Amino acid sequence: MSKKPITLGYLSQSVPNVNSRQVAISVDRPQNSSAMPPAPVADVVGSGVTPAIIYTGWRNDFYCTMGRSQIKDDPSDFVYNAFLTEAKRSASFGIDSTSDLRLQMDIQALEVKGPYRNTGFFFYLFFFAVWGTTDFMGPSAATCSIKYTLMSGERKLTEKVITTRSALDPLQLHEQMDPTLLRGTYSVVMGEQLSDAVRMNIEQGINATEGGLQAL
Amino acid sequence: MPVPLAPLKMCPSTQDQRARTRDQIPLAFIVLIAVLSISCAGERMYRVSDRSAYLNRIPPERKYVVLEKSHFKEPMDIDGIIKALHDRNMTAQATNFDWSDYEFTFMLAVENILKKEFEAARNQLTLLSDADFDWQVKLLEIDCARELGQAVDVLKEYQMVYDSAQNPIVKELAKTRYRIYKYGK
Repeated sequence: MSKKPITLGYLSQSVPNVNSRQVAISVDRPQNSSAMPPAPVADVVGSGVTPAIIYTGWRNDFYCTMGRSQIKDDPSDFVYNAFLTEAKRSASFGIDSTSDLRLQMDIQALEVKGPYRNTGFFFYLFFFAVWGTTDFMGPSAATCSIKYTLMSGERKLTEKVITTRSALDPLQLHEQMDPTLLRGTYSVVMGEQLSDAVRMNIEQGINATEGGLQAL
Repeated sequence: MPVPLAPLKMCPSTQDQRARTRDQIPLAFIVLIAVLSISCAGERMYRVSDRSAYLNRIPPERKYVVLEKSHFKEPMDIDGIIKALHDRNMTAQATNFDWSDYEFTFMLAVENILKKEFEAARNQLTLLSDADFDWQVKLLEIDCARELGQAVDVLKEYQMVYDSAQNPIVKELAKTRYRIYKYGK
C-alpha cells in the first residue's frame, strides 16, 4: 500500500439548519482509544505454487489494514473539528465552551481493511515462453465507532455508541496498471471510505446529541 | 525462468518491483481509481458532456461541465454544442445556434477553459451570475482561480456550491472536484 498520507476531509452533505438555537453545549476534544496500527499492515493469509513441467503458477493473498501513518490528519483533532463544523452547520444546538452541558467523545474504532491478491504464471515450451502477473484488490470496508456521552456537570445524561461502515461492491476494470499505482489507488479508496464513515458518524452523533438534549 | 513470488512480510509496496500487471482489477470505488489516475493522465482535465454521457462516464475522472436542456431558453442541439466546444471552434459555429447573450458568454468561457485560456474564461464568467447553469458558473470560477494560482478556500467554496445547487449532478461535480483537489490536482 502507498505510504503517502491522505486527508479525511469531506464536503458536508447534511441539510443546513437556519433556525435559532436555544441550547448550547461545550465539546471536549475526543479521546482516541482506537487500535489503528501505526503503519500499514499486510498480513499473509495464503499463498501457493502450482509447479508443472511446462507451467508454473503462483498466488499470494494478503489482508491489508490501513495504518495511522497513511492519514494526514490527527484523528482526535479531525473528529473534534468535524463535529464543531457539522454542529454549526446543521445542529439545533449551539456551541459554547462555557456551557454546563458537555459532550465527550471517545473514538473506539477507526479502521479500514481489505484483501489484496497477487498472482502470476510462467508457461514455456522449448524456446518460447509467456509469463505475467496480475494483482487484485478490494473490496475494502471502513469502520468508525465513536461513543458520545452528554454530561450535565458531573451527571451523565445520555451515552450512545455509534458505529458506521462504508463499503461498496467491487467493480472490475480491464486496464494495464502498474502494481505500485494499484496499491496507491487502494490507499486512496481506503482513505475515502474512512472519510465517508467518519462523516456519517458525525452526522448521526449530532442527531444523538439532539436526542439527548430533548430529554432534558 | 522467474522464481515464484515469495510471500510478502510487510507492505506490498516495498516488494517485487519486477512485477508487471495485466489485469482485471476488482475495485471498490471506480470514481476513486479515476482520481488517482488523474495524477498520471494530466492532460485534458476538462470535459463537456450531456447528462447521459456524464452518468455513463468512464475513468479517469475529469472536471466536467454538464449541459442539459433546462439550461437553455430555447430548444438546443446539445450534441452539436458539445462537439463545437470540443472542436474548439464555438465562435465559428456560433451562428448555428439560437443563443441568448448569457448562454453564448458561458459557452465562450467553457471553450476558453478547454483551450486553457483561464484568464479570458474568468473575465467572461464574471459577466454571469454564479447561479447560472445550475451553479456551474461558480464551479468554473473556482477552477479558473485555482488554475491562475489564486488563493481559494477550496472546501468552503465547493461546499457553497454543493449546498446551493439543486441539481444532484452538480452536487456530484462539486464533490468530485473536491476529491480531485484532495489528491493533488
